[in-house]
Amino acid sequence: MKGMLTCKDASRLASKALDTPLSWRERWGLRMHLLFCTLCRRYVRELKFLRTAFRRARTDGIGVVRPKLSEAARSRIRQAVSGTDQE
Amino acid sequence: MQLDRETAAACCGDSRPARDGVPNKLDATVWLERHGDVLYRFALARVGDETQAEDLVQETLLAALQARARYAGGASERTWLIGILKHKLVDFFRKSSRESAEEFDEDTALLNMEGAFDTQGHWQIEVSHWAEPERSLEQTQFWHALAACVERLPPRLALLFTLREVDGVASEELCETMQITQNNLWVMLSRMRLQLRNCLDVSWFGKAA
Repeated sequence: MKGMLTCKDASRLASKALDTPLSWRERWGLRMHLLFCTLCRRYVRELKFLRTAFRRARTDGIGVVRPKLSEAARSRIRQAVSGTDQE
Repeated sequence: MQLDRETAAACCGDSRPARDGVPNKLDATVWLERHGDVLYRFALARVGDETQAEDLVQETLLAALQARARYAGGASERTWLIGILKHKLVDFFRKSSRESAEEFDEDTALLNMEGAFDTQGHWQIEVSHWAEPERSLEQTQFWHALAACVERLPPRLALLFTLREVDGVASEELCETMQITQNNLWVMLSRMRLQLRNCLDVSWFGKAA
């Protein structure tokens, strides 16, 4: 199996592919590995599912993520920025 | 579930066009509604202090108001605001002579990957099959489980993750503002995804099976 990616390598590439286009060599290596590796195929599917879930959280406005500006900070900032051009 | 007011602001934006390039105070409040949380997450991830992060958001919006006339509309509104925040962060760290990049590295070391792979790089955990995961998206409990897993990430890394995966900030923009290399970012994201996957596997899919 010399020259083949390990599962660890493959898992990193599968993640990297979600952030940037992989090089030809990386894509090829990952594809070859996935042909023979059931666990990594599952892992790739699960990462894609995670991506789908977080994107859904964004479009549906589901609050899976904190922190955000507190109401107090928000109104303080709102006042500060709208006060700037009041005479 | 909280509804994000970003969505509401985006759909029914009441931003009125500025008259003759005169800074319109409405714009800053609209920016606050639309991008306030993203700016805050960026600032908080860098400075690690809530009050200072809030101040930076305010300074950014005030500077944006002044620079408003010069905004050509080329970059997206969010990218433009993040660019202004980036300058504010440079000033901030120049004054305080601290840096945050090392702290990301320290946090990354906290993501314990021991045990996921053996010394040869083979899986050492059971990567179980998730049956019909899409159905989970319709269940309120799933979102609670996911939120709980995100909360278990080191806080500043969780911010990085949120900016990338939920806010959809491109990795180049993220790296530039966070002052980290792309390679570093990819490693951090990869580890966080693995940890989240393992967390959900236990807390959600394990239970559902």
